[in-house]
Amino acid sequence: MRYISAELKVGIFALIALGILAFMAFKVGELDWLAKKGYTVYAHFNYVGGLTVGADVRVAGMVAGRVDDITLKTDKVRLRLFIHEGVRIYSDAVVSLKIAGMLGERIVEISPGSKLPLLQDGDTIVYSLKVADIDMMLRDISELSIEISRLAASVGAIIEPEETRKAIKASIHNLEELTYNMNIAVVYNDKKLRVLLGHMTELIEANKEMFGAAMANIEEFSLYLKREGPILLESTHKAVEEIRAVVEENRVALKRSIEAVDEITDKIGRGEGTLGRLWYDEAIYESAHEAIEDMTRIIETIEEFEVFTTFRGGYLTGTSGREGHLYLTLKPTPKFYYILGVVSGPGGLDGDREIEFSAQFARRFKDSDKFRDSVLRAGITENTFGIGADQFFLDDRLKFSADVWDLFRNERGTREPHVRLGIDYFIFENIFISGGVDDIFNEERRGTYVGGGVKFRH
Amino acid sequence: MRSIESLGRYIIRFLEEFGRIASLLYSTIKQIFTHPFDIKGILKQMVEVGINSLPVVLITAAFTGMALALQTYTGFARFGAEAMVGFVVAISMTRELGPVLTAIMIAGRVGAAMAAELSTMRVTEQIDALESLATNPVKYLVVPRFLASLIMVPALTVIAAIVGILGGYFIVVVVFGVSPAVYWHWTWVYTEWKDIYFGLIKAFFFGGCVSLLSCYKGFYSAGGAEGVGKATTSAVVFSIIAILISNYFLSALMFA
Repeated sequence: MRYISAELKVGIFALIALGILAFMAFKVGELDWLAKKGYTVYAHFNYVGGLTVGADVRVAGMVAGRVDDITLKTDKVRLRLFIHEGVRIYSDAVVSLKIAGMLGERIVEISPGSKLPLLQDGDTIVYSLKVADIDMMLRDISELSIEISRLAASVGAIIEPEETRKAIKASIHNLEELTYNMNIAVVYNDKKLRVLLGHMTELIEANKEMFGAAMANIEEFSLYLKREGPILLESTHKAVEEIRAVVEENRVALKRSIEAVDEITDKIGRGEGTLGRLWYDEAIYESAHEAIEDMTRIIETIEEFEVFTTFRGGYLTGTSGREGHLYLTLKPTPKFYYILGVVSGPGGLDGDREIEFSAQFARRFKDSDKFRDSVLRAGITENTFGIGADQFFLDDRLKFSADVWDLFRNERGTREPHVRLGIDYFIFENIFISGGVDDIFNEERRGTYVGGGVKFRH
Repeated sequence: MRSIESLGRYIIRFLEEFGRIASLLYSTIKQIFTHPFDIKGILKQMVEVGINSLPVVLITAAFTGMALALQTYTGFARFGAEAMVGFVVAISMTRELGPVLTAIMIAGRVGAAMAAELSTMRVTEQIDALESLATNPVKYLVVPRFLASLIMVPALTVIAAIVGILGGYFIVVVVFGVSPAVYWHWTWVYTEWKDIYFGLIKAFFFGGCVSLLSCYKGFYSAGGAEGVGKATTSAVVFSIIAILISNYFLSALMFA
């Protein structure tokens, strides 16, 4: 056998040892950069809950890179992610933190998105899902429970005195009386109501085809809105700006024309003019029910189209009068809807009763930045031009409303616009109670109102 | 009075011994950087320390890894974490068992040889002869052994670690039938680079420790054939104790 020199032996040995060392270093991820080409992207989180450098980055559950660096910026944690070559991440990718493995190891998951352009080296993934951290959740819950117990305590303190209890008992009794009165009011107004519905029916009967076509148009329109909504909103915004400028310039003229419109609606209300006479034609109330059903059926053919009937009654302390409302809410989309209504209430100071009409266009703002569950309404309120706003809470169970109408003092005996602030609260799904302040700016008529009502969805 | 005296004597002797070891270390390091560089002698010792120790180290490491996997498997199987055995074997071998077992084997095999060689040279007055020939005995005898151990013990540790891991793999995958891909994945997924290089720092330190202590015991032996035997035994015992104690402190320093 040939003699193997000490040099050769040691050399082979050293090569083997170094080879093994390099293999192990590579396996534990230290030499990743040697083997894999790729690119770097950044992501930002508020909270990374135990994520460590070297953690996997996964795309669709496959390892697609690793966390290279974690740095705390002023208020956010910035992750530097090394992504292997060939893994495509688009500009609308969403990055989130996940838990993998039985030891609760944190990993970064990227949902790669689909919107071009592709992310390049050094880009940032804009969308990151907030981490649902159990600690934080528990903290929120405990804070909430403290709030609730505080609330309960204060409610308890309010109810505690004997007088308060008596007062509550009395109010409940009053409410009972009120509903009884309300009932009478309904019976009293029954005929008028029937007449009104009859008019509506006749109108619809006469124009059934047209109405169907109109509904189809509305459907088309709502689809179009859904598609073009964002662009439309933007241009609407622009338009509003322009209109505002025009209004500023033509304030006087505008006021005059609104007064004219007001006069017209007033005439309709009093049964004058052709349209007014049509509304009051006694002969056409026979098939009221049938026609409403027809209408409902047409409406129901349209997806998303919702119809609500609201009936409400109340007692006004200011004019010592009862008030009854019947509203039909037509909702082609959750964002836009129409409110048609009839109101029977005390007229002027002389105590006459009056039937008045409302027709409003409403726009609901939900989950936008500035408004959460807010509604703006505009149109005719009780025969005059009026605007209003609602704010919803607790999944629409609680509603704060503000209404302004009668801007030009057409109501008899008033000097200021009619302003009403109120709260509706649904104690059951269909039954609500309401209360508020009515006619704030007219001293003689100012007062509170209490009442309640029912709301049905068709 | 007498017992206090003897306590004092022990302390003095310990300090003397410690001082001699320190001065030997000092002169060894000084001689490393003194011309000429005895590459041949170093290579010869590297073959002795490294390559000739390979079979012993391989067998020890393989069986340790296997036993470790066997025991851990029994435990982990009770809560269904069989695949995690790979991780336990990997960090045990890289951090602890690789360096310590290699160093102990080197102490037994090479340390004993060093002490015996040097003490024989001492009692047969060969070291004195070297001195009279104006050859520095530390440079000629200690430096090659010291350097060879510093380099070869970490190298052997790397090999021991991978062999131990493969031994564990053999037991868990071949004997118990856990999926190879799963086991291999878990072996590396939690193992970190620092587990490996801290293990190597330990091995480097142990290599220096074993060679220095063994050379010291041989270099300063006296008393004929009996002295040679004594030097050999105490070199091994001393080295192993030094390895185990310093292992604790090094671990505490690096991993804690």
